[in-house]
Amino acid sequence: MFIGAQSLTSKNRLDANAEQILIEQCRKQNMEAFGQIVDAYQNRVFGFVKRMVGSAEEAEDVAQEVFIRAYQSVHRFDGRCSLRTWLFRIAHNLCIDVSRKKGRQISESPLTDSDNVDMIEAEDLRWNPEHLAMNDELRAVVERGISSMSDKLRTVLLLHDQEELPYEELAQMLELPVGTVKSRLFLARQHLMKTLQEYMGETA
Amino acid sequence: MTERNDWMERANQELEMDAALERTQAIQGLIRDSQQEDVSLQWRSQLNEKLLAAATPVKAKKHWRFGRPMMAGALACSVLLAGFWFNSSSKVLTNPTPSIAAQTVEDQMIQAHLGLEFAANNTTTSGSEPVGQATESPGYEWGAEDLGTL
Repeated sequence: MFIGAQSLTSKNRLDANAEQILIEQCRKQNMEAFGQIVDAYQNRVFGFVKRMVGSAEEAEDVAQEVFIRAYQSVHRFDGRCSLRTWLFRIAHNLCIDVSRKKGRQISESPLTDSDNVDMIEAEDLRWNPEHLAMNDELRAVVERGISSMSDKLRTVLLLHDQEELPYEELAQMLELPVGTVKSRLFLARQHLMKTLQEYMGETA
Repeated sequence: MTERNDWMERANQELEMDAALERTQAIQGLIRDSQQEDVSLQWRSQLNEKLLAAATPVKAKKHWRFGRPMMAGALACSVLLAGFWFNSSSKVLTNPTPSIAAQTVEDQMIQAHLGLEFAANNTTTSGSEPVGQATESPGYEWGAEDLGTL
């Protein structure tokens, strides 16, 4: 069973039908079908893991472990969430394990009290993506901003803004109320905007 | 009344949060356009090896799941056959004569055969000597007279 290229969307994502067929095949220990799932998600899972653990070498091992765990437990996948959400849940849990093993403290940020955060005027034209030409230097600043925030904020920022997981699925995955997910996302964006503001202040 | 106020307050906070997220929407574009990480072919090849290694015990387990009852069945059959053989041997040794208790045709045939064999081996002419030994008794001695008359 081979799912053709037309089943992959522009961002190399599997559509729901193709996903369902592949999962059925995987439950029958079909390695080829699982290979197609890996093809569709390997770069995105690796990108997420790398940003979470901070090291490319470690991220390679963790990303492989994500797919091995997924393969071993695909028979337990009940379809209540999307395959993408399920894979990122495994990835997130493994990243948390790595952080704990390293003894890194997952810092608690003020998650709901947005009054204490200085509001940045995001309607400023400088924040328009068209004005923010993505050069290597700016990419580096964005990466620095992402890596300098807490694991909790980074998780929500990457899974929502990069992977486009809806609030409800994120809340289910992280076992949090939707309101908390939203406030974490807001704080993460605020953190990144501050980092960018500093960079722009330096370059101006 | 306080419950309603709480609800109103929560709804207001939620609306404020949605508005704040809307204002910071531009950041999403930056994150999406940021660097895409691609895994290497070597990484993929290693993953395939690990997946194959992970898949092997699953297959072995699957076989073992069916193999265990089969082995138990084979063992039970062996025990039954051994028991049957032991019983048959005991009957031959202790009761070689046809038995009235024999139920099946096969049993009766076996018993009859064994009985005949036993009788053939143990029947004697005088009642004390075996039949086979009577043929080995000394024969008539031919004398010279006898030979001369021929």
